[in-house]
Amino acid sequence: MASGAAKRVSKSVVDWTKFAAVCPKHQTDMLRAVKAKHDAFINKVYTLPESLPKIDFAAYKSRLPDPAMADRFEKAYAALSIPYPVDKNNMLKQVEEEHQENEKKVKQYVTDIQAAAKESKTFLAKIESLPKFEEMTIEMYNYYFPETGYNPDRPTFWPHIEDQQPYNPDFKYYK
Amino acid sequence: MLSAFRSSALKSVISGQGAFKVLAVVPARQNHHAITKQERIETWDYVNSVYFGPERDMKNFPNPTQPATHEPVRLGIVPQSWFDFMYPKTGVTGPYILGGGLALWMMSKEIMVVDHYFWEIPSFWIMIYILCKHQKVGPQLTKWVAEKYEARKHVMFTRPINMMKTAETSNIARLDRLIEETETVKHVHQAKKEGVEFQLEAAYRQRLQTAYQEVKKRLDYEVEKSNTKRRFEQDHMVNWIVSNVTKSITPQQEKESIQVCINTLKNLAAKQQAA
Repeated sequence: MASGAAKRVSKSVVDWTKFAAVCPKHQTDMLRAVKAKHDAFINKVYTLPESLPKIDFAAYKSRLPDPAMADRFEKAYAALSIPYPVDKNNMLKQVEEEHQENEKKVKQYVTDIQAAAKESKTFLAKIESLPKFEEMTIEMYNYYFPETGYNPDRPTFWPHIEDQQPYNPDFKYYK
Repeated sequence: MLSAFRSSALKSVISGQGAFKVLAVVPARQNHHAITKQERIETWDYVNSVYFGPERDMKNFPNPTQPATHEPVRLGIVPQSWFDFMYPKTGVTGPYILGGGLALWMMSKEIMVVDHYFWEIPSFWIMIYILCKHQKVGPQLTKWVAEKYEARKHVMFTRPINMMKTAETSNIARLDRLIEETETVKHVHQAKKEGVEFQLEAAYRQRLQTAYQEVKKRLDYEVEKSNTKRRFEQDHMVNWIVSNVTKSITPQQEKESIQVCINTLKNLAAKQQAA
């Protein structure tokens, strides 16, 4: 029968609901394609017998002119050893390697994202550290928000709006 | 605003005068860059350290605060606390007596001189008192000032701060979702691995199926072969016997047998009629 070393699979352990939940919105079509393909593989497995089907040799024995022949067939059939197919291109290893590489990338990616999230959280905490507006003088306010104060290195023209300053390249009347 | 720049007066300045243009191309002023989060944090940390740092003696010199409303008053303008200060010593009327007596004393000593300009002082304060107490003026004025203040606060502080907060909160939510989405890699790996395994399993099961079918085919062939052989032998035997029997019948025998048949039929007919 099956060679003992090979691992038999008969049930899918992929949690498609969770997969769909974590799948990015723009990759839903890809997910659907993968699922269709996967289902096709599984369906093919389920249409075929799990183990070597039994043959009713007793019936054949009575029908065959030479019962010894049936016995021979039975013996040979029982002794039949069918090898489990070998992963010739070592696909499983490739998949594993790819996964390792992806894991590395994901680790880096998650670290970057967590750093960004941490910066955002710090910023939120810093906003809370600002004094109340009622307790700020104009001077304090300008120190906390430097863009609001008058900057002598950067004189502006009336109406003192950035978009309408001559040094703004987008300003229509500059050209 | 723009119309001012469109007006010919300013246009002539822009196109005609060199000084304006020279001002305009100073590189330092070319772009106002958006302030990043990091810069904001640095600025705020520094300013916080200046205003509320360890060197600041918050105990003896607390941060001055502007109360939203005035303290309680009597007579519209005189602080309630002054009356409360004198109450234990002089009773309710004490402060009024003190005020009136002080005025009388100052008048008698000619410190407060009742000249032509004297009445400007009480009349000014009386007018202020009436305006404050008038239902149409005082509360309306308070409301107007409060509205102005709120609008200013909203534009200068509340709105930008809330925008920053909302942006950061949504950013954190987005980043959390991104981290969640990285789990896809795990599922993809599992699906890929299973895909390969299932294909191998399918191939194996296909082999089993083929072996079964081939063995069964051979057995069926043997059975069918023996069946056919037996059928053929039987047919042949029957044909052979029949043909030999037919051959062995002579014309004389045939005639006799037909005669016997006719006689039998006649006998039958006679019996039928008699009945």
